[in-house]
Amino acid sequence: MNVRFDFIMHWLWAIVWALLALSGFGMVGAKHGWLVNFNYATADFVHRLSAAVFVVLTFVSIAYEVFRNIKKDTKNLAWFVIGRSGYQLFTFITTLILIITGALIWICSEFNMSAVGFALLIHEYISYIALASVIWHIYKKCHALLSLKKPEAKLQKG
Amino acid sequence: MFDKKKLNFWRLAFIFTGFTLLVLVYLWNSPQEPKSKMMGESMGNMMKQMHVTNMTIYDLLTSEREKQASMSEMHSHHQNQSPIIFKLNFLTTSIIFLLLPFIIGGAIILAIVWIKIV
Repeated sequence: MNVRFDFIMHWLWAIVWALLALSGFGMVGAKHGWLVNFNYATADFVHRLSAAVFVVLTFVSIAYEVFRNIKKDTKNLAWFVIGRSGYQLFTFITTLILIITGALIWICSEFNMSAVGFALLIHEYISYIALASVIWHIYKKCHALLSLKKPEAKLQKG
Repeated sequence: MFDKKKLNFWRLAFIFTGFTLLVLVYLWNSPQEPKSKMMGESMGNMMKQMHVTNMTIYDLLTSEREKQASMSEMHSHHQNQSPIIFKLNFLTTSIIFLLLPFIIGGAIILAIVWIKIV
């Protein structure tokens, strides 16, 4: 079985992103608490743990892309999460903003609430934009899974 | 007309709608109206009202010493209450803050390389 690196990264990213979105939107305010059964402590714990995995995945993706550029590899990685154009670039920018503001919220809550407030505001609004874009992305790209099924069907017939 | 290629999307949307309805039915008796005006706000908006309004650049860059003291007190309390969670918090914090400079550095390198290619 030939499983591509970009395909694995895509779905690992999707799982971690879904965990972050569920726990994060659950904590946004009392109105959305039903998402996490009003258990904010668990949501906070899941969000922080997933954030660490998300940072590792981002680091691996960036390192891989830098390595590809050094080796002058111009092969198109259709499933890869970051890239220099289109939705890959959008994901790259929103991810950087979310990670940096998330880190500010994480560390500044110890000594500077103004910075936390500023970072939290950006973190929240970027999350809304990212969520809307993910729904659009799933709608636009859902046919990609159909094209994965076709070769298997052909093999079975053969 | 209905696009057959988008069938997977509508299936997913249907499943998520089902999940949402199930959770809302499960929480039927939970309070639907926020108890106070503040609780109806999102966390970002709450923070905006409490800390970001009238904020200066000086406020962004200076630390609150009193807050720091009370936080260290809280940390020692948490450490005694749940050591596993405290260790996990230390591990995740270390991962994030060790990798962050590399992520920012890598992003700057990629931005330069991508701009050159274009």
